[in-house]
Amino acid sequence: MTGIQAMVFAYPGKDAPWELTKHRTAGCVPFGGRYRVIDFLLSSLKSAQVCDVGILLHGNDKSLIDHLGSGKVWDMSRKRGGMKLLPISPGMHGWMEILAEVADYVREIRRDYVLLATADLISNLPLADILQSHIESKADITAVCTKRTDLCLDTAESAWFEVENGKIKKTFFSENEKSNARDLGIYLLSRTLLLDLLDTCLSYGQASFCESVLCTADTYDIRAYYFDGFAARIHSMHDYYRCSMSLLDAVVRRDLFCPSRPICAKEEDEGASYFSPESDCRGSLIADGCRIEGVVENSILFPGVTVGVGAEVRNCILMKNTHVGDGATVSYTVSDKKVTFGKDSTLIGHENYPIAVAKGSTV
Amino acid sequence: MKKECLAMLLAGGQGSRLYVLTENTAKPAVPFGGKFRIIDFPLSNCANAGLDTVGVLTQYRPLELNRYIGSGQPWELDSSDGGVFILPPYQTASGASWYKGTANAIYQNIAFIDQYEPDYVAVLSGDHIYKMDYAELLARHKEANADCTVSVMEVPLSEASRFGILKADADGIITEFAEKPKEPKSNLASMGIYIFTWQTLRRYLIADENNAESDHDFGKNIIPTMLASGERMAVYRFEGYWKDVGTLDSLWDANMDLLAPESGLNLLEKRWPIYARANSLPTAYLGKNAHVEHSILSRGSTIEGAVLNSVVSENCTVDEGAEVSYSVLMPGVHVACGARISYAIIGENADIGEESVVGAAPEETKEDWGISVVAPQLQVAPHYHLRPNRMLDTNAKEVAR
Repeated sequence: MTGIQAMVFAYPGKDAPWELTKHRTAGCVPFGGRYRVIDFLLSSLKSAQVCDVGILLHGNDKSLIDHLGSGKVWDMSRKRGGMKLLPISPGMHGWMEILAEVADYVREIRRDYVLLATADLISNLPLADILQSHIESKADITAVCTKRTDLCLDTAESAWFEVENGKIKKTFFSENEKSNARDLGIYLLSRTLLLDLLDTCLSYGQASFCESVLCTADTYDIRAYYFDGFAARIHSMHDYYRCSMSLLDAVVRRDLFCPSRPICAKEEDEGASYFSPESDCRGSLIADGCRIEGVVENSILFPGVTVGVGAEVRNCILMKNTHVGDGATVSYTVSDKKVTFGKDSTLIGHENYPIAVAKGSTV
Repeated sequence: MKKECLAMLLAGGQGSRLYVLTENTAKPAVPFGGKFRIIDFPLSNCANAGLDTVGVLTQYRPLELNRYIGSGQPWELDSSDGGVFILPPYQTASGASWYKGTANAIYQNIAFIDQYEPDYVAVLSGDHIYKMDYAELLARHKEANADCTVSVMEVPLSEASRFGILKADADGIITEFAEKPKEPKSNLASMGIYIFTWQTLRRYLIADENNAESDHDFGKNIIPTMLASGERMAVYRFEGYWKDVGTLDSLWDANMDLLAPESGLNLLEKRWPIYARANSLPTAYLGKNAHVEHSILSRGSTIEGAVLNSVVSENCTVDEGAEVSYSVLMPGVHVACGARISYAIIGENADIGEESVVGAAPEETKEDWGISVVAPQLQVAPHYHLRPNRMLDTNAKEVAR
């Protein structure tokens, strides 16, 4: 059957947990005022009319399971196919061994093409275009990559490519003088090839897709698809802060939130936000359901945040239902959900060292 | 599938007193409060009160309303054995007839209601902004052992002649009813929200249909006839915010009430949420030189200019140098640099050209002040001046009310 089946790796990778992933996986991190990181990939899939999606995750990932629901938000709640949650045993990292664990599901894939992707890439990918390009090039595998050097993509499993005439010649695990493209961790291949690879890797006991497939570029025809839009993988508070603040740039917003491929998120059912006569809000992203009565500058406020009278919020990211009391001063701070900054309290971080405040705390 | 109580929502009217705003769409589909449409209020009230079967009677320009209601999922009205049903007039073997009045509309849908064998039927209007627990209205109806319960509000005596006025005894049983009386005998006004014992209403609807002199209207015919025939009719006293947004002024007023905490209309409070069908839009962005004061903003909007005392809906753009005050911007409006909008309602997706002026404050207007209105989808030319109390229709023609 034509079209793409996506296999989304939403399990914790090799990256160490950081402040916002202590109680959630990377795909579940709140981002951009109302989204979770995985919403970007799922929305890109929706825009390309992909509804068959297998989500590989840890069985006890309550946060993600709750967020995904039936997949209805992204039109993936279907009678046939649709979104399927595939719990895998903890401790696995290689894509091949993970797919081997759900081999029954993989063998039942009805679509001609399979997209392999991690859940933690923040990007609005033109997947329909990528599929078209893959088919036309007759490549075995298409790897989406970027030539941009200004993106935040540092993770424990980063890879770089040496690309010649559109074909990937070599794969590296650190940047060097030969590498001329950065791997984005999104691969497209045919179902039949994937099944072959699975069998091969199983017989040779090879667990990693990257090592066994990408690195054997001479065996397979692996082509590069260059994507020059915004893309980010976040695995530290510093990167989180920097990427979030880049959303205050209209160019980045236009790229990520392009109307032809909208980003869909679970509905919050909040009212519109209210700005009082004493408020002074500039250069900020303000989600629904907020009540602003103080100063807010250069910040990102998630739904339901309240900023009291005389309070000053600058350069902050305040997540859902954070409450900033009257007269409080908060800057360069990232607060998780339901944090309270008491009346007249002060918390001042630094541009390079934003302070993280854990979920539910009171300052 | 038997239901205890069904809700019938009258959403068929033209809403002609909203003029250009309802030229191409039914009144209940008109946007309100930044992210809602008027019909969200009765629909959400039904959902919150546990009324899971709702018939929405449509007739005038229902396309947008039908699309908006869809399967009813945003209001949790998409259950497998109930849900929301759009009910336009339909043909039968004996002929076809448009809805001739509010009572006739229900009359033509007796078969729909009978399917559920309800004990009670709530008749609601699609043009009111309010939060009401219909379960309490039903409880009152049962407790009073009535055949009909009318939800009423106390209104200032000076305004009473605009409403259907009821007189009730100490037990809250109606003794007199007068539709828009010149000399009102009480200040209890009917809100146009009723609960009936179905078998009783059914009889009166049939009798009314056979009465050629009737206007087939609840307020003018059914209620007075039931009262005159000695039916037991109770009042349910409602205390809370309620507004009929059938006129441009009341629509503007109700939107402004959202900004005033004392008005009683608080859509941020969660105990009785009002749901809406939401669009996938990114978070609202306020620019470095944005100036927003005493206003409401909605998602998808980009504000680079000044917004004061106003309600800005989804996906609006206010460019740097533009100023919007005491106004309502419906979804998708673009206000270009240098434009000045005050005391106005701007229809969905309208584009206000550079340096144009729409409306003015009452203090600045010598005579004939009123809200200015721009029709949906309209492109207002740069430097255009729309005076107070004037409307621009869909053909960019200036009309007076």
